[in-house]
Amino acid sequence: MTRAGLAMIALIFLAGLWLVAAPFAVRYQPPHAAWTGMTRADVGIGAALAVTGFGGMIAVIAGRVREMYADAAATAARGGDPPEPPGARPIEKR
Amino acid sequence: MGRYLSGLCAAGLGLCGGGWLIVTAVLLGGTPSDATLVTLATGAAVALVSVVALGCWSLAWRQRMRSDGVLRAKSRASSPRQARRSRRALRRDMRRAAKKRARRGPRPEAPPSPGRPARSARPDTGLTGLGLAGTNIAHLVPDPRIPVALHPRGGDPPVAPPAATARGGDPPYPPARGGRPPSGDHPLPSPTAEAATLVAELRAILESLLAASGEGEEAW
Repeated sequence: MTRAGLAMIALIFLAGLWLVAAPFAVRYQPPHAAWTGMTRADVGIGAALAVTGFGGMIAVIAGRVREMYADAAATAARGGDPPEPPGARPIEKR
Repeated sequence: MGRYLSGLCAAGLGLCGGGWLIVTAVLLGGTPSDATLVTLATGAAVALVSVVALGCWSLAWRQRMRSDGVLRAKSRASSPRQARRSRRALRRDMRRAAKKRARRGPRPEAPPSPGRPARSARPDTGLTGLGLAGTNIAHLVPDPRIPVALHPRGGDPPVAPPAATARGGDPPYPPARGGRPPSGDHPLPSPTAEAATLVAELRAILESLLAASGEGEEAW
């Protein structure tokens, strides 16, 4: 479910990019002319959606990495040193 | 928790953006053109994706909270009509059990009446799993009709026949009524006849209650 959510946020990011590019790709904005109202709205909202999607993806990945660090720290605190493999020779002290 | 909140926030902002795109296309569009169509379609798609993302993140968060023990596991929700019906059935069965107890009177051990179903024909009400049903506890209760002096070894009932143990096999289970399974050096204390009667009455009440509630073993 988390992966599906992350995929949806990536889709939002891609939709934002598409919105920014759409006026020029579909050519309803003539080149070298002042931007129409629709173009301004599309580019603005597309940029906002792209930033939102990108930030969301980064935040989700950062949260997951932070959880992994916390889990590793908890495991180390609970278990202490890793268990000795069977048959390992004890280290002799001189 | 941070990533779930981030996902929910991103999805919410995406929903706002998609909605704003739809509104813009309707308000600024004027005559339908390519620009209006692109904006409208993209806004609808963004809104749909954002709603799906919201559902996914909220479900993932709920699953996480349930696995962490913050949320309780799903319980069987019963409709009010079903609950009323089961309450009524429970009350009826309690009345029936009370009548049966009053009809039986203070007799310690009554022979089974012809109308009463056989012990083996009763439905399994979940007491078997607790060791409180059937013959599982019969060996704990000596038969009050047999005098104590008749038991060998001063009241201790006979244990498994030597033939079974000599062959190395398990002793027959359950043991005969009034008997006791071999328990080594620590024999179980034998309850009195009054305790046997109490246990039997308690078991009858519990069985009728459990059968009426219909919970079975899940309730335990």
